[in-house]
Amino acid sequence: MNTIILYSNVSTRNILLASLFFLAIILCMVVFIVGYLIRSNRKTSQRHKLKQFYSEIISSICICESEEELSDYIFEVKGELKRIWNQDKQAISVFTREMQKVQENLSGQAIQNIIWVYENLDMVSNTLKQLKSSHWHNRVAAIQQLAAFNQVKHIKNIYKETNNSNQYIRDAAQIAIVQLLGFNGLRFLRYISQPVSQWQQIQVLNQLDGKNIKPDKLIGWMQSENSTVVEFILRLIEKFRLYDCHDHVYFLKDHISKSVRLQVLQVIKELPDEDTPLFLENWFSHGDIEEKKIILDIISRTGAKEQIPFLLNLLYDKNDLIRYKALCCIKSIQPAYVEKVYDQIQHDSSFDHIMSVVKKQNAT
Amino acid sequence: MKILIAEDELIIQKTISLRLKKDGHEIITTDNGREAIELIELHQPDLIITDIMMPYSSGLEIVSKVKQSQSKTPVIVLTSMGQENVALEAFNLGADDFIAKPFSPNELSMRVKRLLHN
Repeated sequence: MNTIILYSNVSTRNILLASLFFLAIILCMVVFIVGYLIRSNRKTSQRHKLKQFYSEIISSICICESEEELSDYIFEVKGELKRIWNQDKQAISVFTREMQKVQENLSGQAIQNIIWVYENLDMVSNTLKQLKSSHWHNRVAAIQQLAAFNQVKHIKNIYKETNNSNQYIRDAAQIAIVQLLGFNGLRFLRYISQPVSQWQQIQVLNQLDGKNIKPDKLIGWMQSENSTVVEFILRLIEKFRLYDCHDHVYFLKDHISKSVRLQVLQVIKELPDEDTPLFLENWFSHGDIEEKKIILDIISRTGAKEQIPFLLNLLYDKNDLIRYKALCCIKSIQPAYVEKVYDQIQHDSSFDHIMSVVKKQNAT
Repeated sequence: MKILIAEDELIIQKTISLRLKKDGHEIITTDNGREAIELIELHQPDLIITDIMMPYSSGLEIVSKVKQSQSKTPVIVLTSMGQENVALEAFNLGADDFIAKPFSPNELSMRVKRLLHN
């Protein structure tokens, strides 16, 4: 009986202690969460006030109409800005980001004023410090700032990041270089070993809009061992319709990378010339099924009656899809002739399936 | 002249506001579409400058509301680059002019002058 009471006492005491312990932990957690929320709220409110204050300064900077007016204004506010920046190390980055918003929305004198302020308040040294950060997002932000504030003199710092192993850093660096130097900025294509993603290729191409393209420079980069570089050049040739590069595009038909070969076909599809039909016929013999399909699509768009014998041969290919596509090509190149072909093949049972598809299509 | 600026990007709103104050205009500002519609009814501005993308009500809704009320108040629409279709839609709704971002505050000031003069 005594033992039971003893156990019961110990057990109750233990439960009480454990409950107190857990209560203390929960209390600590609640205090921590409330403290964290108060701190974060205070920080957000400080940032908001800072942004309000900065917006007054930046909008005044934007409407200054002469360098004299601008330097007088900066002289007035410089002390206050430096005081804030010394107190809070993040404050200068917030100011820089706010100035970047002007870059995205305004043009003309406002932009020149913003660049003047960036240089004259030595904000660039903060950017260069940020460029050495161990966090990739800080480095990306720094690269974007150098481009946004037109810091061509710091181009070397950006250049060395164009082949960075971190995709975000190298993407930002490549875009920044092209933003600052235009077509000449593409020099990085000569040595980059890291891949250029398809998305990045499109972004860089968009940056080149309205810039002067030099086709002779592209030929060297087409020899790159980095297949994504070659793919990018082919996209560039297609986008800017560079017929001068046509012969060099043809040389890439045996490229080891399939995506390059498909891009070659894409260029040829968009920019055909008089050599295209013969070139495609030669390619067809050793192309894979995907390439063969694209080749026939191109022939149906660009072919002439000279391709009819080649297409007639394909009607007896072992692949039904190729046979069907060849028939479609004949129809689009010489609609009158296709009726004769229909007559010839109507008694051949191997065409039954193909003809049923053709008839269905004709009916629709 | 009284001008209403509806723009949610604070720096841009303030820059336009300062630039037009320099020209001697009285400025009313807001950062959202719903408040813009209320302020238009309350203050009857002589000209409205509105961004397209704004919280609560878009710039297109503002143009539509102003023009439906048979008001002759001119409206300038601010669009982002590549939003030509939206600008066209704004014109169809009755907008009087549009300016694509990035724009020069001085150019906007000239367009305001032209519209108010007309």
